[in-house]
Amino acid sequence: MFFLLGSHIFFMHMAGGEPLSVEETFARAKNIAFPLMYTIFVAAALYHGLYGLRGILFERFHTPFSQKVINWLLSFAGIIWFLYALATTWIPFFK
Amino acid sequence: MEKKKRYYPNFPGVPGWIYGGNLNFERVLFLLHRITGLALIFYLFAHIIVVGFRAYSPEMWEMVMGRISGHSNPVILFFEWLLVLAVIFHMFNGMRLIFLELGFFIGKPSRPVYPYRTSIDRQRIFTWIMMILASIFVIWSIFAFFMGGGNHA
Repeated sequence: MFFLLGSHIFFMHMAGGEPLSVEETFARAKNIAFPLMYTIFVAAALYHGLYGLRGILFERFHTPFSQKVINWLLSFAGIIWFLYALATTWIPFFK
Repeated sequence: MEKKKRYYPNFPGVPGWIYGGNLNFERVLFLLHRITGLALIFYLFAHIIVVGFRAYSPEMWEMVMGRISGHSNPVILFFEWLLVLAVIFHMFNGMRLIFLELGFFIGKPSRPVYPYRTSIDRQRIFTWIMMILASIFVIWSIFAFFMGGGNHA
């Protein structure tokens, strides 16, 4: 996460150039290294973030039932968001 | 019938983030780590949706970026910068926590001889080093976002 997020922030915000322009965005999308890297990155980020959110919610909701609900809701949200991210990462690659 | 007890004295909840224990440097970092973590996970959901627009068409991507990019609006640029601050802090503080959990920079166990020295005292230098490193990146981000050093010129 440290290196993936660090390189993402560096290249998107600090390195200069026009990384958000149409040309550069779609050129990156066609390079298989980027969809692969972003697939791993988004999976790690979602897991890390939702697991942290789960820990915080567990401090507030103590009953086994509420914790089970939290587990299911966060797992569901994570899977849905990951599938959406996966689709939108790989569609430009295959288009 | 006695009502089921719903108060757990050892779980101070969200307010306990602030009042639980001493409000020392590490406690402030703990509080900031949680606040930035929450901000980042909610931002991540929005970020995935926005970045997903590139899957539709280049025109759609251009239209969306034209509206919400920091290039077009200084207020958005400022909030993007705040987000980068949160990322930098969360990254370096997270790295600090990983090292400490693995047992680095906390010193070897020793007998409790007065004046006592806790592991907090031993790890404080490492904490400052990580925060100084984070500050260097914060200064770089100011240069990149507002002084034409990055891609926000």
